[in-house]
Amino acid sequence: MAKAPFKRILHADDQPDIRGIVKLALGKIGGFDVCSCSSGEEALAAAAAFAPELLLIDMSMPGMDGMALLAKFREAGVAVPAIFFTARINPADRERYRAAGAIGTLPKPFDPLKLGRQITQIWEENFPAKDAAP
Amino acid sequence: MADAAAPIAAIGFIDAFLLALLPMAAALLGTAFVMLRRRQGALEKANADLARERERVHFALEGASLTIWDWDIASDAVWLNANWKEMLGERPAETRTSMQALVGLVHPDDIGRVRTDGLAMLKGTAERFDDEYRIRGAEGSWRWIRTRGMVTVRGASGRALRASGTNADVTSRKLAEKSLAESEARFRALTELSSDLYWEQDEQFHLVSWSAPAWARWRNPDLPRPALQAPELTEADWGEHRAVLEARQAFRDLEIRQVAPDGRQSWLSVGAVPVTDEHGKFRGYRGLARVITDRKLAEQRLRKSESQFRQLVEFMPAAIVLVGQDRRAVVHNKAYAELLGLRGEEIDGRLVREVLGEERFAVVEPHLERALEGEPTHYSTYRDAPGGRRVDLDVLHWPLRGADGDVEGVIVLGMDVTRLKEADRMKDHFVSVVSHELRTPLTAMRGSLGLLAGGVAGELPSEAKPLVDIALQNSDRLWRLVNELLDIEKMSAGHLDFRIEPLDWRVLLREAIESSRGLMQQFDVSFELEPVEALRVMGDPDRLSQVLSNLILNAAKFSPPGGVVTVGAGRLPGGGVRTRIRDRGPGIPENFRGRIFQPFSQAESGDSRASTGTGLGLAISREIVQRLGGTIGFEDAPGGGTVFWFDLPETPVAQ
Repeated sequence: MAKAPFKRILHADDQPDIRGIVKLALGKIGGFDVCSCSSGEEALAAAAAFAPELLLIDMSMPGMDGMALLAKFREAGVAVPAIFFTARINPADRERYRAAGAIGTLPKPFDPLKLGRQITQIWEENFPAKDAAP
Repeated sequence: MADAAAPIAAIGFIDAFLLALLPMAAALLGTAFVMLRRRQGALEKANADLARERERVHFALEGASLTIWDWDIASDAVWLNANWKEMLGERPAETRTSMQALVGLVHPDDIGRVRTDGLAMLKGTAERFDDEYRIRGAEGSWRWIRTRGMVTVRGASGRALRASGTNADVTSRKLAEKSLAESEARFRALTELSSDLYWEQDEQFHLVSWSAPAWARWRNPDLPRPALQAPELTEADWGEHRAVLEARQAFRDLEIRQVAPDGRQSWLSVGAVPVTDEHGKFRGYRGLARVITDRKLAEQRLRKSESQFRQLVEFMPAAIVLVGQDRRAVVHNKAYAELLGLRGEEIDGRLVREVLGEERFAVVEPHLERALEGEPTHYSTYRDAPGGRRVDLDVLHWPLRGADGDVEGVIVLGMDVTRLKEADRMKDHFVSVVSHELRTPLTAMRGSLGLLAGGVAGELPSEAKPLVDIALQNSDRLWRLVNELLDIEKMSAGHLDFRIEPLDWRVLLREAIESSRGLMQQFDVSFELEPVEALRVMGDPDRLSQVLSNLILNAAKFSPPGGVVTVGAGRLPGGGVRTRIRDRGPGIPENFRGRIFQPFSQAESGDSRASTGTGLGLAISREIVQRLGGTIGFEDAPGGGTVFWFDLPETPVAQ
């Protein structure tokens, strides 16, 4: 796998099983540093210390959903790229998520062996030039 | 003066006045004759009396329009008095002529009869001569003459020596008779030809006369006999009619019903005028009767059929209204009035625009106008029914055509599909919820298995590896099933959205084959991509990848072990891009071809690995291709197997 231009991924999902799988898929297999959070509040609290380079946010969480969490991150000055995880993808939603500031959307279920490659690909499509990441 | 008595005795036809007068005159003349012989001295007085009497006879004949004739047969000398000429239209003058000359004036059509009757009189086989015939008068006109007479003197051998009689002008009577005969013939022809029955009743209302042919038709054994004397009327109708009869008034269109013993009904329509004699006394009625059974039965059938249809329409659970070309409601049913919360009189005859209100009419108008032009239309809508209930409606506008094929109006049929829609919404909701709820555990399962298979927990024992692979393949299948169920739900709800963009078709084909590599091992097949030129297609990349992977999966499933699945694409001669996926399988069973694109349809197959799908893949693929403006189909591949293909519009390659 080509070396990704980013390393630290903050993952927010209310489902502990998914958090575990994503952590294995991106950490052990993908070679990223993954910070797993079980809610929006937890993710906001963890961001300062972890200093993520990419936000991977589940869209449907109880309380604060993905869109709301991204808005909070932006309010808090966390401007790094974000990718949404969602079970529901249709073109209209895709456009809505992009308008909210996401660089891409990943469907659920996902193949854990391909997950690292998928997010790297999304990053590269958005930032083709080297060192273009903010 | 003997010749004066004989003609008098011969006169048979004369009115009462002359009959009384002439014998008296004859007696007087006879007396005068005797006196002349006995008393020469009284001659002068007698002459004067005779002249007076001759004058009386003359005036009597004149008054009776009679001419006296006297024929001396031996010398054929005929004497006629002065008014003979007058009868012929000439100046009055005493006439001396011959019978031969007289007969020469008779109309050729009558002459035979006149001769025969004349000879019969002369021979004595007929006592009298009495004929009517035409004779040429002044300026060639024909006069009708009645001649009466008899032989007045016969010789010892019985030979006729002298005959005498009278002529009467009967022209005006003959003309009147002729005109009456013609009029009667006309009347007879009319009554005989007419289907109407002509009849007359006397003052007791007994039938005394009728036109035979119509009567015969009426008395056809198939038809019951009319009972004009005792019409079967309701009490009220009879009372009214009796009043008319008692007042001796004319009537018309009186309908009389009669029931035959076998229960068969017949109807007459009767009209009549009262008949009065010359003194104004009532003598009965005469009139016409027409058999109107067919019309009445047709009316009854029509009324019955109309009533049946009206009830049928009235109690249909669909709202129905018939709209005329003038955009007014002609007729509607109960459900329609209930749906609108209006009373019948607020609908029929009024403009649809007024009945519905401007806002609703704006929705209906385009459909109504199209239907009025002859095109049936169908649409779904809803309205807020009385009571705040929302009613979902499927509305059909169907052109109503007259006998000549012209559109006379529109039948509007509104079906309440609220419950159907509700059930549909519940089903969609159910599918949506279930599918989403399935995804979370499925994501965890699929993820865990993927990690295990990927060696996250280290190399798996050789017994565990195939078991994990089985679990992984089946969770993939479940994943696909859930996705397809969601797609079907979106399709039926019309929510299948697309992101249309120009696509490099070669890249998409390569990626589709690449992502299907897992199938190669699973189904023991290999994939082959034919060389493809640079093509650009307009479409949704995710959805078209879905179509390609569906078709490749199908091809793999139905390939024999070691089979090759060939993917290719090329321009169509008429424009557009055709993509082909070919397998080397057994082909599609004949009985399955018709429903292969129906949701949840799968061919029955003994091959267990083929029956691992959901039966939704092809239905979804067809929907996607059609929504992108394309077509999809299949055909037998030359040399065995099947080719599935789909055509999409091509976009010019960007420079």
